[in-house]
Amino acid sequence: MTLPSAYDFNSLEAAIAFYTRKVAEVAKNRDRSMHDELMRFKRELHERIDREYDPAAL
Amino acid sequence: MDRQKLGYRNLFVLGRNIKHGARYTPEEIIAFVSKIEEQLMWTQTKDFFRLFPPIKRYEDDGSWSYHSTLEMINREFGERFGKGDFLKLLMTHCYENKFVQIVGIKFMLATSEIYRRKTGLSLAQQAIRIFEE
Repeated sequence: MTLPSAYDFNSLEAAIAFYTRKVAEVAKNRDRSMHDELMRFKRELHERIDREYDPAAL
Repeated sequence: MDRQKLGYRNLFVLGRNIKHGARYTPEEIIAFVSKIEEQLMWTQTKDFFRLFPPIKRYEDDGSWSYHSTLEMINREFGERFGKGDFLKLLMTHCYENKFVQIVGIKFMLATSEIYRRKTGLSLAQQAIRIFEE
């Protein structure tokens, strides 16, 4: 199964909500086959946070 | 005011302040959220969802829906908040409240920024490193 890109979501919040649900599902089902896809999504999510995050905005 | 009420009041005020443009350092965000976690520790998890109901999204598009949220609450949370439970919930975004959701986002950004300062690596770089190993 292929996950979408973290950049496909309209907002960072939506991407985070998708990621946290997928992590919960994978943990529940102990589905190790999803590991690489989840890591890829996590990397993109952090990249997106890095791009959209303005330290002065905190 | 009891500890639980203070915790929820602080959570709501923090979210409202952020939403209205207040600026906090990452250390302040972490400190505020840690204090709120402490105030909510061992209080009933159902009270959180009484104040901030499960998200009202009824179609399953892969993100949190009402049904998947209820299932997750039953599976992953006990009757009361234990250590780490509140933070996990805060970042999950499966509840209806924009002020609380924004606290979750700011908490993630704050931890990311502090990690970057301590290690010189962003969490994205760290994720790439783990992915490549």
